[in-house]
Amino acid sequence: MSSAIIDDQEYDGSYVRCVLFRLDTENYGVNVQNVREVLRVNEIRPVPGAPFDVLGVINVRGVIVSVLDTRQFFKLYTGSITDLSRIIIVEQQGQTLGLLVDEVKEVRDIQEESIDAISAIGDDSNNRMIQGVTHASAEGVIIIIDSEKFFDGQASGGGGHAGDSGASAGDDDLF
Amino acid sequence: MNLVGELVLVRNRLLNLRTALQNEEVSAVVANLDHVTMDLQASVMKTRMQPVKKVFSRFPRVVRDLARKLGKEIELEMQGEETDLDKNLVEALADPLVHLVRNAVDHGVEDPDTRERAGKSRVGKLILAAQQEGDHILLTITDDGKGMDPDLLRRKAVEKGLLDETAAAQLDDKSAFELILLPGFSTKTEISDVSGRGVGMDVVKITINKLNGGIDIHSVLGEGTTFNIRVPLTLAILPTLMVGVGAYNYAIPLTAVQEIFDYDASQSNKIDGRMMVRLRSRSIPLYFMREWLSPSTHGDSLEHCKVVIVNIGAAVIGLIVDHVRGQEEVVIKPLGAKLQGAQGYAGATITGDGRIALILDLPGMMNRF
Repeated sequence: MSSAIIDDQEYDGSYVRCVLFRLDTENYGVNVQNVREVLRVNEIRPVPGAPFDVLGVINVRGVIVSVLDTRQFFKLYTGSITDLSRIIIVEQQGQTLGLLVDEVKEVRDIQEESIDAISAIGDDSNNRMIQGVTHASAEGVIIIIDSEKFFDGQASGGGGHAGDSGASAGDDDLF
Repeated sequence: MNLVGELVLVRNRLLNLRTALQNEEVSAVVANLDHVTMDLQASVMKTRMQPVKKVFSRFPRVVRDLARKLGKEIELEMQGEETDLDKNLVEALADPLVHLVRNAVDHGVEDPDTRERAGKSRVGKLILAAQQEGDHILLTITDDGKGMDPDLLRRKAVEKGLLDETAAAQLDDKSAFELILLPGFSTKTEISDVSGRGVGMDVVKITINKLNGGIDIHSVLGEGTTFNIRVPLTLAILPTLMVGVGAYNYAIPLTAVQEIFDYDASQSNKIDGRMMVRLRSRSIPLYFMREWLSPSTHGDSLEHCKVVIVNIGAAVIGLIVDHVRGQEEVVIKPLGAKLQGAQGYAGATITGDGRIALILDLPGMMNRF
């Protein structure tokens, strides 16, 4: 048990409410304010030619949402989808993204002061998806991620030519 | 409008279910819903329709002012002003049309003296016309000016390094005219504040393409130039051909589709390393959609595959698909975050069975592969 744990009764700082989830063997947390919903995994429709970290798209009540292979962002091997797998829908400025995770555990308040910046634990790889790490939990370490960072960087396959689209009505009147 | 789109999708799902259920009572109700949806769709469309006059009305002034400034005499004739068009389209078309009209006045029509020497009337004529052609609107801008010289265009293209000489020489006249749609292309040596800066026509083209439309150019040297712009009546709902490749469905915009037939290995040849299919004594290049969209099934037998012949701009190609599911009207939805701008797709849609189908953007797809 880390000494960073302060008994909740004695702690008078602010809390961050997080959705806790699991990827491989580690526990992660994402601020609940950025989470819109958690879905069971139905069919994920792959998009051939999409960036490698995009698994595909899903239909969320008529809206098409991209699903990311979250494991890849944390240098983990792509896993298989099980009964416990869930898609966490995160949103930022009206955009939504799905994060595929291995299991969603619970929603928990985390003492804000217990979150250490990742540089503080001597890792210089500087994973920009990770906001910090907290040791103030019974299970050990919880990695707090910054869901907004997942929205950075648009499709690498596109040349910004989405406008070059559509059926060019040829010379012939076909129908 | 979006809600009507959703309704159309739900209707499509029900129509699918009806076929699966084979229940007479359900059938009747769904048929009824189908009709109501169609009527609703039609009347919502109608409320969004606006006469093209709204755009056209500004042109007499544009032409008059510009002609006076350039010392030209031009008569503007407008036809089909009462043709109706989707509100969004009316707005989106305004800028490209203004650009084309200014071009026609500046580059197209000659000054009165030149016209007289060429044996034409001193007054140039500019015709702006709109008409409905099935589910498309055809807008034409015609002038009786000096026309375009395809050889000059070819030379310019080589000078600007857009093409090499052999490629330029191989261009037919029509393709040579289309050179003016390239960014940075201008044949004018002096720049006026009206036009000739080499920006603009490419923007016109991009705007029209964005509207799922096309532009083509006819010109006869000494007699004049015509621009034909075709745009769909509406943007929200796209008629498509649903095809299957591997385990998934894809939608091809129906306007591009020319014909469909069974793939027959005996009718195809390998010419210079590329598969071609013979169709009415013409060889058409074939593209295997599996190679692009479903590499894992690429090696499988091609038996029962279909060939879909499509137009991409001026080119005609054959796409080999696993199945043809039929025609379906779809509502275009943007792909999710991180995928916007992914080349090769115009968007996605929810099909009748509730699954997602990707809408192919054929020109983008060709660029990518």
